[in-house]
Amino acid sequence: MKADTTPLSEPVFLILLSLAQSPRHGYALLKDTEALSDGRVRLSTGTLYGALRRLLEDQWIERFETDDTSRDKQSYRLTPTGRKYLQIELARMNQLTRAAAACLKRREV
Amino acid sequence: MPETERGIKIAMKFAYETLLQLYPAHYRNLFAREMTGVFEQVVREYRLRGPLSYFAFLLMEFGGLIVGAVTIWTDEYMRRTAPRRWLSLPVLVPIIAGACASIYLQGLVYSGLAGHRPKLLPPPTLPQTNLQLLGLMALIGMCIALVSVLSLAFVWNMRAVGNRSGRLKPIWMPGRAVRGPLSRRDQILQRNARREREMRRVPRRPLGLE
Repeated sequence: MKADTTPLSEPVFLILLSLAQSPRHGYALLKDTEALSDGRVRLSTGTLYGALRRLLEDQWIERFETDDTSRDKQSYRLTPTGRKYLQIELARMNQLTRAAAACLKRREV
Repeated sequence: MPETERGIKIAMKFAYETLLQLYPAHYRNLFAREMTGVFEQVVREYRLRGPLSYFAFLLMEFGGLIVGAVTIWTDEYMRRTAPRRWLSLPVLVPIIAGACASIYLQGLVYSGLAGHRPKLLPPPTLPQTNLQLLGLMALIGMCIALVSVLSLAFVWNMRAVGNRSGRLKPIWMPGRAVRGPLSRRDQILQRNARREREMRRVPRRPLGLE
């Protein structure tokens, strides 16, 4: 996943955003992505774990050992690389929002 | 829990685990139990929301699993067939030669058809002048030359493949592939593969000596 050039997909963006707050396991991630998107994005487990696998491979997130960690319940957290790419994506979105607002304002005038 | 409900729960879990078999083994080792755990949690929640919501959720889950499996196998395939292998000269030469030949031959056919009038078919005539005869001979010669070039390219490609693997011998040149001279690149590749195999081999510890 090359965040320098390619925008993140919405599920990946929401997963990263959710993990930016605190480490979470699979079920909490599902709930959090749904809440963050106002119920618009409902990930299936296949989509969620497909995205998690890619993020793990790219080392944007890592598995996180907690006291109650078992094979059924594994927590994940954001790595510094993942945080950096999330910030890049946020900056890109901010720039887009500013440009869109400027365009609309110009049209109104 | 009533018997029917328990039966449905077991059936759903079984269906989910069966669909998980579509994924590669390493993926299943890493995520299967975790995914099943999350699925069971979400199933419990959706059953309380009513049958329609439950059915929609199951459709989405199973559909997502199948789509996920296809995506992961595609990734695997792309990773295994590195682009370098497709861009190598022995593969590209026959492809380009084949494409050129196809374009040339089709061009001949279509240019011939363009001047053809279906209603006023002239009677088939043999070449009348030496120039026409020469043109026909040149055309046949070019076709034979093209076929020869393609055959040579194919044989060259197979020889390169045979040399590279060190095991695969083209049947029309027995023993040639193994003894054939290796290019510097292939020598490096073989050396690296040998090193990698040695690194993977776990050293045996002498029993009871430590």
